[in-house]
Amino acid sequence: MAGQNDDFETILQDCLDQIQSGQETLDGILSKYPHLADELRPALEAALWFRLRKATLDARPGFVNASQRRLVERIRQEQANKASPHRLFGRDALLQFWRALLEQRRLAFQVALVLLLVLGMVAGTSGVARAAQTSLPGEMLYQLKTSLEKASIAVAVGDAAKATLHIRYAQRRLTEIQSLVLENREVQVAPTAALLEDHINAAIRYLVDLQVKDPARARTLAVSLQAVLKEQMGTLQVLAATASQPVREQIERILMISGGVVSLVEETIPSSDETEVVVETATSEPIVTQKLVFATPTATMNVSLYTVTPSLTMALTPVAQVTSPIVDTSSITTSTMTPTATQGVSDDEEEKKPTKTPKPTKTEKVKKPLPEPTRRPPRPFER
Amino acid sequence: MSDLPVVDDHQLLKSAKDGNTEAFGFLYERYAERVFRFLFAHLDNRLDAEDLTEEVFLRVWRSLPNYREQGVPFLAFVFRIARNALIDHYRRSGQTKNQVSIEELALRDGNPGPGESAISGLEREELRISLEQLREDYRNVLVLRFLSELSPEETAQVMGRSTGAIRVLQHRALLALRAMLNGDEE
Repeated sequence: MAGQNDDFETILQDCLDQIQSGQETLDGILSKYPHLADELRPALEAALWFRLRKATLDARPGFVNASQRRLVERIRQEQANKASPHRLFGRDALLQFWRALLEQRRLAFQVALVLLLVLGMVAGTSGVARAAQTSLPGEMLYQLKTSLEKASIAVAVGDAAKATLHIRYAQRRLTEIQSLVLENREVQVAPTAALLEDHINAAIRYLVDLQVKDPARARTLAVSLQAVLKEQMGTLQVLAATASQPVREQIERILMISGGVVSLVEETIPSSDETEVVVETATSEPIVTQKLVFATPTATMNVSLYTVTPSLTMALTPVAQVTSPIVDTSSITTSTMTPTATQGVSDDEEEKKPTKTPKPTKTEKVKKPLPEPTRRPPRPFER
Repeated sequence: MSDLPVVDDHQLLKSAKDGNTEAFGFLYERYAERVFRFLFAHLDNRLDAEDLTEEVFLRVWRSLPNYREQGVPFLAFVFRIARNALIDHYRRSGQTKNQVSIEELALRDGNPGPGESAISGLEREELRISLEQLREDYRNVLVLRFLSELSPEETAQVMGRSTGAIRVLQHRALLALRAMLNGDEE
């Protein structure tokens, strides 16, 4: 009896699917099951009645598009409010993040970490891990590959280790993008490019933090990042020339970002003068800015990285000769900005400036006297 | 937005979870109509349904960090949030569906909107009044299955039942609706 009911429900479901798809008339469907026609008819008639009235509940024409724009704008606004650069990059934000992680999700985090470590150990010694390493976006094992990468970053101790991993994974994403383009798997290019951007941004953030503690190591890694990006640029340019329009746009975006970072390192690392650099990277993300400071034994360089929409530009403005080789952590500042404006410093920073300091124009940075050097306290997770 | 048909939910979700608002916009474009129909079938006001549709997706965005694809299908996840948003809406407006009389429903929003025919407006009210007269679980299964076009599996996830139970429930709900329509006609 149960089996008969199951059969009936299956047939009914099949008939309902046909009703909903509009492929078949009610009589046409019933003619396929003459022995069940009397039982099926009332349910199918009700379903048909529903289907015929479904359109009366459709949204107004244009509602979805208009509300989509409103929603996305609302979310971006929310992100911009939340992700103040201090929260993203500052020491307080990291402390807050770790406190939240430790206090609110202590158990979940520990369990997740243990599982990831176990997964890493098991997978790392197996053929699965080797296969995952060669997988490309969209393939089954790619999820494992990126999960292992995330786990590696999560358990890496110190800014140098994390920056190194982000640089390594940025290199992987670059080669993956090339493979995807060559294999004509265009759908996967955009998300992989997004991952690449994330790795580059994260690497730079860790380099900035590392600069405080170990400037020499930070410089070495910055040069590594530069080399990784520079190495792939030629190939990407060739691929862009033959790729379809959407893929070409993605590649051009990558080239712009890579070019910006390469120029940044080229212009700043070998210099003996303090140089202030503004880099704007194209992204659809909320607009944030951060001011970074690179120091060498002979010079200090202020670097401001701007994340803006929609294009990348770079402006270099020499700043006054520096006498102190010590890093100025207090000048690591962040701010939000409007998509159309390109400002060099945050409003807060503006307020700190001497009154005679002129207001920055679109691509011009204003010289700013270096405050007294400060020492950043170690983060909890570095202890 | 031109590549909407070729990007699958998995990729869009992954990007959205990474903070890509454009990817989330694609998901909205893909599912907003279905969510709107679900809400409009329960509400008596088109503008409320529109506002609530946006509110639902804003909640979805905020909940994305907690969403795991392996657990619940994305659409089921969205409709669970839609159901909760609907309940919150009733609470805010200080009334439940049962407190709104059929007569009152018939009077509200009865005027056709821009580009909408009078017949269409009447059919919508007929649909809504019919739904109001059904048991809540019958109403929910019919709206989710036939208006929002969820699969039996997705409907099962939203309603917290097995797929088999949903199939049986939808059959009974259709029969109840048919009987009610017959009664109306007579």
